[in-house]
Amino acid sequence: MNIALAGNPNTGKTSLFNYLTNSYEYVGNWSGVTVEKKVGKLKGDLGLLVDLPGIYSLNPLSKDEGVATNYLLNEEISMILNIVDSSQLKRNLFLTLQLLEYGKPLLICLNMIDVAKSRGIEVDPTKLAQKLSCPVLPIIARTGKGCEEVIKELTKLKTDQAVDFRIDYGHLLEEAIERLINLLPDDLSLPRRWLAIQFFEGNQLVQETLTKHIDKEKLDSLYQELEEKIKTEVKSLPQYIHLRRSQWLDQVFQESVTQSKKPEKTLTDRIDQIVSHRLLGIPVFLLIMYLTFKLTFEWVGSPLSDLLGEWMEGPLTETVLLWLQAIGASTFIQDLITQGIIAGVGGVLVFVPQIFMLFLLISFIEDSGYMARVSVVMDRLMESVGLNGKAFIPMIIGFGCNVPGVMAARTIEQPKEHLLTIILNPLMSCSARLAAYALFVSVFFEENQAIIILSLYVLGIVLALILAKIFSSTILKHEKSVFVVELPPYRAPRLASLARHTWEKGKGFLRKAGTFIFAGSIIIWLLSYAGPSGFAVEMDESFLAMIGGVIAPLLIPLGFGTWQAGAALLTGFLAKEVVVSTMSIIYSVADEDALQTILPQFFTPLQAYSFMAFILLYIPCLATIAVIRKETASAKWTWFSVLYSMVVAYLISLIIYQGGKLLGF
Amino acid sequence: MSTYLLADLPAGQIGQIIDIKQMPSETYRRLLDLDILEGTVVKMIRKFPFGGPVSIEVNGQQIGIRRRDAEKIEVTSI
Repeated sequence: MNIALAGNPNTGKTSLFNYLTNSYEYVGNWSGVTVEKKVGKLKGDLGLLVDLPGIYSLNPLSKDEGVATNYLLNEEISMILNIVDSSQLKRNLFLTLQLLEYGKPLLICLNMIDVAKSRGIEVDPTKLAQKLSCPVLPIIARTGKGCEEVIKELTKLKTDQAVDFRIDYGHLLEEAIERLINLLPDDLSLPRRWLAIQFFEGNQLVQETLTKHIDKEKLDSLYQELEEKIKTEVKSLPQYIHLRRSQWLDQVFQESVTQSKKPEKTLTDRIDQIVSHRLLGIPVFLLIMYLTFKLTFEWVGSPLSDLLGEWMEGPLTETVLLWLQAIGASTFIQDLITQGIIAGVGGVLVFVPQIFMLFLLISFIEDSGYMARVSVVMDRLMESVGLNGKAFIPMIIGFGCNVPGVMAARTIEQPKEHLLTIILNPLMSCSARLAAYALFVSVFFEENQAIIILSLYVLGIVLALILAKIFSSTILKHEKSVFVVELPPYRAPRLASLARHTWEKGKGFLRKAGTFIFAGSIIIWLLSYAGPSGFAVEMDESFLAMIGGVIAPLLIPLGFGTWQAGAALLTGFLAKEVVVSTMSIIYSVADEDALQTILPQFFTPLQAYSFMAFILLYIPCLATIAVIRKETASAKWTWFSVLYSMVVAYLISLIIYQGGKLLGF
Repeated sequence: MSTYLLADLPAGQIGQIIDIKQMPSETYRRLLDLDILEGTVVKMIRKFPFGGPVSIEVNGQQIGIRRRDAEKIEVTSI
């Protein structure tokens, strides 16, 4: 049994999803569009719960919203779980009406009844259930209150029971609906009335589905005919339908909702007076980012990383070595495990504390409701480079990892802005690159770690803005743009959900360490261990040195024309953490000392900075390229994002190194 | 009763939408999704500088829209 979970954005859908499902969940692909959505196993073996993206209406404006409509059009659904925000009940119910018209059994979860109460809104669930002819359960998803009842109610719902829900849309529209229904073939499994209403609302996806059965010209003329007649009353058909629903809902509300006192100044208003201040907004945002970096690199993350690193280099390696000797492992195996795997995988795992700290802070910003403010505060700046404020959100998420960053761009309605946001996301310095910076700053810039790393993040952002301006005024020219953002009330994030979100983001990093980087480390170590003359060769005579040596000459003008740097960059294409793994392996073989003491022999601080900038920019990692390919559905733009980053990386590192030398660094 | 463009409504003041003029259909649709149309009561919260977006309050919900779009919305102060 498939149950779809639908609701407006920001209604607590994810919290409810987490309460209703066991931790098991998977990512699925569906027909129509290849976009993943979360699927979880419902508690009590009820079946699967499918988490659809937050939508205001089934009539989609963005790719993200299209996922939900496509799901209803193409997949088998047994029932729908609709979560609504009680404090914004009317607006939420517009979607509910569309879902009811779909005709599947529906259960409404009346969320945030506590917030509604604090605003003086009282909803009577029984009366509402009567009017909407479906069960209504009050819940507080944030705390899990009432979620048990949802499970109980779901078991009671009959899946085969067809729901007959209808609103009278007035004789003009009803007549047209009737005419359209009569044109549909008899064997169509989709709900007819719903299809017809959605079509007249201007739903593109429904229209595409209908053209499979009905002549497009016929459809167009039906639509235009009706719109002509209705234009005497209102502006457009969508508006007409909205008004009809609005009137219907007003009647429902008269009996089931009471609004007592008007709220005074809320906490949200007070917080906004500072963080969304018309002038202070941007400085406050920069301060928050600065604190994020301080916490990640100086106050919490790095000290923990150091402890972990010492433990791995010392006690762990020694214990493993003793153990290997005890079981009589050959020198080859001993070297492979200590110099290959522990150095390679361990070199990356050391950065787990910093990366989880960063993910925790990003989750906090997301969960608190500040993210939406950022998009408003930043909109003017973004608009001037041909993007919109919403593009800032994928950029911040990109700091964690570019893959979800690229996917988060889906919420941007305008196609060219969407594309631009995707192809610029790799310029956002992700946590994998962080591993490389963290290594270099701890060696070369010990006193100013946070500020040096912050400068690389800023470099990425500034380049993204400049390139956005260039691309949007040349190859991606566009005029109209949609920018309408909801600013939800602030909520204090709950510890449990913060932990869950941090874990969800961070586990990919650990998985990569266990698979990709593990395998990569072995291969890289083997390449460094073997050479044309046999095994256990001098590192400079190894295959790795030969491979790295091929591109090294190209890198000389940038300040790091060594085969070691070349090899690290080549392998770093798989995943940027591998740059660190490779260097750990290369340099740990050359000397027993820690990497920290060896690196200064190969890099000056200026060269190290140039190298870091190059790592930031030179190419999106393999996983990012794959997701760009998928989200843009264009090989051309995927290639473009790879090539422009190479060109930009080369230019920037050249400027940094040659400019730095001129300035005497 | 005087009419304003929403963009010109001073911060803190309340107005009722009487007309939404020609604007990109996507933006118009999104406003409709948020139940913003003729007859809706809006409160101006703040305007960001340099022609930046404006924050408005509608049915107890805060929404950010661009200045350009706010200039297409006509309101009467109440």
